[in-house]
Order: sequence, then structure tokens, then C-alpha cells
Amino acid sequence: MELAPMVLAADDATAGVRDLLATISLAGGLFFMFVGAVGVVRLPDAYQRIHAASKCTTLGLAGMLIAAILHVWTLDIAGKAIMAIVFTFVASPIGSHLLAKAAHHCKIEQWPGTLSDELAQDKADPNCSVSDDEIGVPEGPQRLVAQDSGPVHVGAA
Amino acid sequence: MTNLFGNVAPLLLAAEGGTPWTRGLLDTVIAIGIVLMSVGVLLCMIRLLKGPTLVDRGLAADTISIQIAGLVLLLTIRFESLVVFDVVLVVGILGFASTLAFAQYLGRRGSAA
Repeated sequence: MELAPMVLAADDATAGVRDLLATISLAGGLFFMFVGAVGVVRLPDAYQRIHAASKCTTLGLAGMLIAAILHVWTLDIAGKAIMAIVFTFVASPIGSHLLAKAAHHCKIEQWPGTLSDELAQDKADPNCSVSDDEIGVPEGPQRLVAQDSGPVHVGAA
Repeated sequence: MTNLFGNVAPLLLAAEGGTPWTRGLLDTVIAIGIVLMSVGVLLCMIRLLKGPTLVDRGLAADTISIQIAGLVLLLTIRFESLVVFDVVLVVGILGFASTLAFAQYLGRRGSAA
């Protein structure tokens, strides 16, 4: 199978500077990737591990994608990489938030040195309208019927 | 070498030219990065095997997929080839969708023992 070489490095005057910047960005991305992997193993708590993995996904992948843009320096890899960076910066916090919410819903205990659990306090507070579960629906499909619960008041009523 | 990545050899020969100092530094960082991310995959594998809850296992699997995407990205930077770059986008989208589905599953299950 003969594939045409798609890109070649542009050997222009800025190649050295771009390679240097790409090296710095790549080193930063690799640092965050490795720190995320170490944090997934070493941190004592599921919530703190979610925190470490989220850093690994956003900052590590973004640094390496910026390095790819700077080194290859063509328009198609720049478009795809910017698309990947934007998607990752939107999607990864959402996924981490939902995973942490599911973990809190499953009542995974926190590390004993954790200072507070404000979500549990808000759930115990009758004046606060934090719903018990928007991700897990234990009652089954009757929750899909629209409940007219009046105006939703955020925070303390 | 020519069947998977196209003509790799002329790209490697072209990579010898240009500015050797920064190129050598970049290649060194890429070589270090391959080692670091392989170690990272192994560390996440430890968490995947011994994680006490299902949240830890799902999180470790997601982190492994991101590290694999980073390895593919290192391959892209080294060979300056766009052939494997789409893997990064696909793995990112699949990782997001799988994390969402996993969170839904955990919330519906109610316990993560």
C-alpha cells in the first residue's frame, strides 16, 4: 500500500525557534501526564484521584497538542489539534464532575483529612434544593414524567 | 516500514537536515516521553487492578486511554505524519462518552463496592 507522504517539515527560518518552543511545550505536557498517572496511583481518595486524572487529561494533552502544532506547522494538523484542545477542555471537566457526582452518590468515603463535605451538608439541608440524584434514577422510568415542582430556588430559600 | 506509515524512510532522511540542535533536543524529549508515558500506563494499570471501588477502575481506564493518545501524539511529532493523528480525536471523544456512560451506570447502580 503506497501512501503519499502527507506533510513534510517546513525547513524555513523559524524551524529552530518552533522546535525549541515545541520542546518546552512537550516537556510541560509530559510533566502533567506523568504527574497525573502518579496521582492516580498515589492519592488516598477517589475524589483526589479524579482531580489528578483531570489535570492529566486537560493540561497534559493540550501541551502535547501544542507541541505537535509547533513542530509540524501545517494547517491541517493545526485545525485538528485546536479542535482536540477545545473539545478536551470542554469535555474533561464535565466527565470528571459527573464521575465525582456519581462517586458521591455511591457514598464513597472521603479521606479522613478532608476538611468538609459541602454537598452532603446541602443534601441534608431541607432549604437547599440540591437534588439527591440527577444522574442516578433509582425510582425508574416514572422520573421521566415531568414533575411540576414549582419554581426551582437555588441556594437557601 | 512502508506499509503502515507510508514512506517513512524519506521522512527520516528529511528529518536529518534542518537545524540539528533543536531537533536533537526534541528527539531526546520524545524518547524520554515514551518512557514516561509507558511507566504512566503501568501505574494506571496498578490502580486498575487494585482499585478499591468501581470509580477508581473506571478512572484508571480513562487515564490509560489518554496516555495511549499521548503516545500516538508522540509518534505524530516524531514522524511528522498525519496518518495516526486522528486517533487522538477519536480516543478523546470515546473517553468522554465512556466516562459519561460509566457515571450514569454508577449512579443507577447506587453502590460502587
